Amino acid sequence: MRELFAVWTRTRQIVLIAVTAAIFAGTLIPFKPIQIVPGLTELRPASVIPVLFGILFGPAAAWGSAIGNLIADFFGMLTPASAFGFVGNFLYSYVAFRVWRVLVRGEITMNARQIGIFALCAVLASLVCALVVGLGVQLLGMAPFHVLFFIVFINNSVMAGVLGPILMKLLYRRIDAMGLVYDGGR
Amino acid sequence: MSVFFYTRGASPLHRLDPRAKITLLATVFAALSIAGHPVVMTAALIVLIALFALARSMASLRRMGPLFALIGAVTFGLWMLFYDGPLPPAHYAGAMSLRFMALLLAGLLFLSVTSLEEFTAGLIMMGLPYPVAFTVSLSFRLVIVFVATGHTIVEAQKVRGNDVTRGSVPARIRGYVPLLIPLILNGIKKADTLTLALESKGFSPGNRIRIGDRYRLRGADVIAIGAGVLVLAAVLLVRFGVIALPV
Repeated sequence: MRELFAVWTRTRQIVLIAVTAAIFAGTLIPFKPIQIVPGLTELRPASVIPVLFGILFGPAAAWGSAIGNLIADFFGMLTPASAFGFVGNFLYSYVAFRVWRVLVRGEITMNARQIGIFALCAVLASLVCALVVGLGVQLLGMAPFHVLFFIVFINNSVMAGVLGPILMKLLYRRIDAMGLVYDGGR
Repeated sequence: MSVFFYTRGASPLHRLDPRAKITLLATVFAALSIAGHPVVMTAALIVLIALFALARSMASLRRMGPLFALIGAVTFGLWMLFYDGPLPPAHYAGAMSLRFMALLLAGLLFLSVTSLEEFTAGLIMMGLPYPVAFTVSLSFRLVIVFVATGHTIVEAQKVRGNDVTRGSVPARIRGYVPLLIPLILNGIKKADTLTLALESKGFSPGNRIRIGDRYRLRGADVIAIGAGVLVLAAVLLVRFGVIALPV
């Protein structure tokens, strides 16, 4: 738990939070018009960002994903549901990071086992995110829980599970060479 | 055209202190989330549209109005299909649809009269730790750059024949890879240089910032906050049956 707040004390981690937020929002917005349930969710290839960055950058990516989702809502969709989107996307990234940390030790090679684990991270993280967002939206009366839960869960799982391993394979070495991969807060 | 909705203005809503705007938004959101009566929702919609006129922000409303109307229609349809409570489905679906549209309008009005600087200043003055407020502010500035980069990459890929708006779903998903890679790498490179730039300019997460001198709560701010609290109280009285409204 301490790692979640420790990131706010280091400049590089703060910059990573801001960059994650900006990349996430910057990817959400150009694809914003492809609506699935208008105003509630849309075709979001950006859904891969919280999981991918969560595994790479750790807690900084979780905060960045939450802030990025809030920023995307500033493009005309700011409602109380934005608070649930904030928490949901925070957990979406953080759950993926924790599950990956438990199951993978050592270098990221994206072999068959790691691809499977990545997909598992995507599914579990999507489940948590969909639960939070779905319950929040139902609580506010904006949409029925099961409709939104299903849409968020499927969209996030598919996008992160399919795009994630490809992007990880292509990006990991370059990001590792920059020394940006989360090292446990050391 | 700005990617955000804020336009400079001198309307009474524009001139409110950021703390008053944020508090007012929070109370209106709370009131609308608690209210369940179609009469209250309809009144809220009328008042909000009048406030758009007062703020001279009708352009924002025209820009988002059609989408909000579509959202209202979809919300109505979803609740008509899935509601199984004690009320007539049309009554509940209508109220929820009006609530959703009112919430969206309240959020849009806030975005139309509040600049990013005011928003972050308001958060700091309301107690948000400086590193968090700084990060939110930095993210907003970076996102404008990344959105522009994102659009450029999408267009460049279209020219190369990679149009993600066409083709089968798997082909479209695969088509996103060449869009995401340059956007991500571009951003990551910025993280590397930005850290150095910030540190060389003396940034530290432990820094403190004083902005209280630039903002002062005036009579109009107190009235606005008071109005928000009164609306919330009235909605609570209706919600719990102290004030009866026609069904």
